[in-house]
Amino acid sequence: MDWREAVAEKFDLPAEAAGTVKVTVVGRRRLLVENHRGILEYARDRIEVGGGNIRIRINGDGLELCAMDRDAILVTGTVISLELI
Amino acid sequence: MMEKIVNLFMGCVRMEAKGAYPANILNRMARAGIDFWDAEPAEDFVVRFTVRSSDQEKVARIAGSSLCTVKALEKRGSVVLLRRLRRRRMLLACLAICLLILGASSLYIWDIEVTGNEAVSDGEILRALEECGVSIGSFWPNFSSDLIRNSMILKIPELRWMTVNVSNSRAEVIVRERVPKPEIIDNDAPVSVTARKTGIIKKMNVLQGRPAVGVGNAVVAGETLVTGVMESPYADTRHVHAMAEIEAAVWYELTAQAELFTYEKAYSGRSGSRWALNLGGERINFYRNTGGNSGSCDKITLEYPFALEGVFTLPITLVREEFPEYELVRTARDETALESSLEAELISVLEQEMDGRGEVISSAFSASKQNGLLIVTLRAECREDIAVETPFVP
Repeated sequence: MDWREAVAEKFDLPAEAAGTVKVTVVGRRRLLVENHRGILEYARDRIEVGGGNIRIRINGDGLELCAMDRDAILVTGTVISLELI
Repeated sequence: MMEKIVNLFMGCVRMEAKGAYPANILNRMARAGIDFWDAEPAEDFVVRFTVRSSDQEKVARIAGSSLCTVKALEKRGSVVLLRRLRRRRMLLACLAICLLILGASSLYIWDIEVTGNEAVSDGEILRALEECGVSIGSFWPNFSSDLIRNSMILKIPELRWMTVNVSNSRAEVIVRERVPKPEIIDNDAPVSVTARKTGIIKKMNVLQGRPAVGVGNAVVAGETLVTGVMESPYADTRHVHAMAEIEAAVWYELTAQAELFTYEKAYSGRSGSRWALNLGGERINFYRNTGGNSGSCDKITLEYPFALEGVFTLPITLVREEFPEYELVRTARDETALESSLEAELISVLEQEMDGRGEVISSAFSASKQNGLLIVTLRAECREDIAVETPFVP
């Protein structure tokens, strides 16, 4: 367990408030990654996002980085699967 | 969507980054607080994205430290458009002239709407307004609402109050009409009660005056029922305001007729059309023959004003006139429906005749055909108040 998660758990806080990566999938066409650590790989069919001690691999079709800032990444396109590595 | 419109207005640049690890530039831009959108991997080691025009130089600096090369592919937005237009002076001049004309035209009235009138017609108000200087094409900053109101009330006495509100070259004229004074009945004026219909008296209730007839008498229209002349063997003759409720049996025979055949329009499918332009009341025809089409045809006029509802109105209207051709075909009418409609019409006429002062006791309809006409007759017996006050001079 990441130390941030451990602290959040200890103090009954939501994990994302402590900076743990949070992934929200809206249907198949929209995916939001919050508290990310940057993009590791970027292709039409696969986007990999760093999330501290885990990597989020988004497999899909026609994936596009709709918007990005230091806290969040919004991915659009057809999301087929999601892997936590 | 709104953000995209704002970005387009502010100006944005489509950029392409090429390098061994192009995702790195995206991460660095995100960390530097540079907003970017529509990022897409174009091919191997190439990524394309859009940033604001103001961030272009920052992206170039970041690219240098990210071991990437960037180039601008396309610039979009109002700033870029204005830069392009800078060279096209004639176009800019035309645009400026158009804006000037639009601005100047907003100082004139191009549409007048009258509201709040019932008894006084729109045409009457518009004619009076024209005499007061308010018409299509008037310069509205010269208007004085008080002066217009005073002049209008003098010109049209039926008006109690009015105002002219101007908004976007549109004058909204709001009027309030005078409430007519109620008729004052002089209860001391000498009056006799006469019959307004011919019938047989069934009931009499005389409140004032001397009865001239009795229950069961037949009376004709105009006959005196209660006289206001009060004669006395012991005193002078008095003249009073006779008042009475006289109920009588009245018979009606009403007839209505309609043709059994009618002519209906059968459209041939052929249609002609022509265009015209209405420029501040002056019509410019885009056709030569002003006599209209020969033969039977309707005329449908469609008007397309150059206006944006609530924003501006220009005195230009495109007019399209359509002339669908038709032939008149003689067809038989549905007799049952025709008879029903004539019966309904006769009942309506009977109610008008009674003027709300009676009721129908019995009624019967009869129908006959004659010379291509359907004739419906209503015979009705009614019980109604036939008294009417008739003033007299003593």
